[in-house]
Amino acid sequence: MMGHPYKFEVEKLDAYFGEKKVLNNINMKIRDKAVTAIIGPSGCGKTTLLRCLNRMHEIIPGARVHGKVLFNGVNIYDDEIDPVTIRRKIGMVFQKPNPFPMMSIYENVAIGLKLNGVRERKKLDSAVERALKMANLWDEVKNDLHRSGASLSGGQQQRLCIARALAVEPEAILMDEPCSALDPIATEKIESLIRNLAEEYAVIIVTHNMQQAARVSDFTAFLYLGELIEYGTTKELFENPKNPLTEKYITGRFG
Amino acid sequence: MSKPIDSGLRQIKTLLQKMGGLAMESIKLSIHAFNKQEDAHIQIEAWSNMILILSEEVEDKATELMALHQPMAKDLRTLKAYIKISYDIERFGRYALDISEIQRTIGRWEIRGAVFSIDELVSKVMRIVSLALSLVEEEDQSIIWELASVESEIDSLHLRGLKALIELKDADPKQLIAYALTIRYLERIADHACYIAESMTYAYTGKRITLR
Ligand SMILES: Nc1ncnc2c1ncn2[C@@H]1O[C@H](COP(=O)(O)OP(=O)(O)O)[C@@H](O)[C@H]1O
Ligand SMILES: [Mg+2]
Repeated sequence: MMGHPYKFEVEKLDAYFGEKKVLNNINMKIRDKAVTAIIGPSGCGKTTLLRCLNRMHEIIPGARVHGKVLFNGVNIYDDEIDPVTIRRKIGMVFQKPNPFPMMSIYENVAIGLKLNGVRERKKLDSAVERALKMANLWDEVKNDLHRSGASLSGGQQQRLCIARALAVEPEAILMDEPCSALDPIATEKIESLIRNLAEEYAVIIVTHNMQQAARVSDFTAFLYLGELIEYGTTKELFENPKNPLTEKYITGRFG
Repeated sequence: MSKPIDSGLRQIKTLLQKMGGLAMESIKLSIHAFNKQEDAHIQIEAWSNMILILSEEVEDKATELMALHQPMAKDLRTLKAYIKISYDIERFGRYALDISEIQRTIGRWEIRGAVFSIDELVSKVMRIVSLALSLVEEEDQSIIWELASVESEIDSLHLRGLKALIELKDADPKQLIAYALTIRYLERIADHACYIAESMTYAYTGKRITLR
């Protein structure tokens, strides 16, 4: 649907692990071509919320979701929607960079396409180059594409994983603490990459690092005990929080 | 279009899911027992034996389908994968049994000092097992990517756990052994979850991947 103002619209979303409710009545609209950060203390439900956005939550037996998540205006929890297709359209980048150790840099980016049946060498070559460029990694690896992905530094590995996610041409990108295993210099590179990606995609990033949220995001959501306490522009939320809980959290007076 | 072999393949898939469910319950119970220092050995042994019986059924059924339909390409790869996977799931059950065995042989002991918490490890192991089982259910790349990530998280937690044990001052050796073995078995369970993902990827695509 062209011109839909929001990429995601979360409506009355509850999430459970068995009997335990871990997200309670979340309502939030997420813009396209912007970075939205989800912050909050450990265990508050950040990862769960992210996984509800591309139907990864329900993989755990007993894990359930109530409510709606509209993606381009369509509820991804409708019966006729295939979760596999949704997950392909909404790419995910994980905490630990996880390139396949036995594969080259090239193979690691091409693998998603190859598993989808793309065989044509030219097509693969150009998709790999495009994805590596978008992930700001091309210049560092272009002469060495057949080196093992595992030989890269941690930060490069994470950018490789981002390239892998981009290669299959998703429409939105979810990142769960993508810098938590990286040093500050590598983190800086990922952060500037995140800004670039927001020119084309809706990027949603979970982080426990408030400075990071402040640096990279346009919008910030503060979650606490499974509730969305405050959501707004990053500037407003950090400079002028409306809820005392938010203020307490962002000023570090919180467990 | 549905082929004559399809209903047989579906039956095996159902058996595998049943085995997987029992394995998950076994792992959960073994850890619960470990934390609470209860003896859950009898229950887990019963489940583990049930898994074993089901895995024999998988093997028989798969062999029968091979003989009957002489499948090629994807169907053949899928049958081979199913046989391998039934072994991996059997290992899940066995490792759960091993964990409960630790409790039984080492008996009750008190936790003293700050021991590495295995809860985080357990929840990641449960997640990786569910991811592997959902790959048996259907082809989904996103699951492979997450599985690979969880695998490396488990690897580092496993190492961190062992280091924490080494650094523990005047710990009861019984407690150390119990923890070290439990952590080790959990890590092995994650390895088998990876094998399942590798087998299913090969079945679906004909491409071999190595996750670890
Ligand atoms: N597999 C699981 N089974 C049961 N409870 C879980 C599971 N995973 C997470 N939880 C619980 O759900 C809540 C939210 O977890 P999570 O979304 O991972 O939080 P965060 O990412 O903010 O740290 C926590 O209380 C956590 O203990
Ligand atoms: Mg999290």
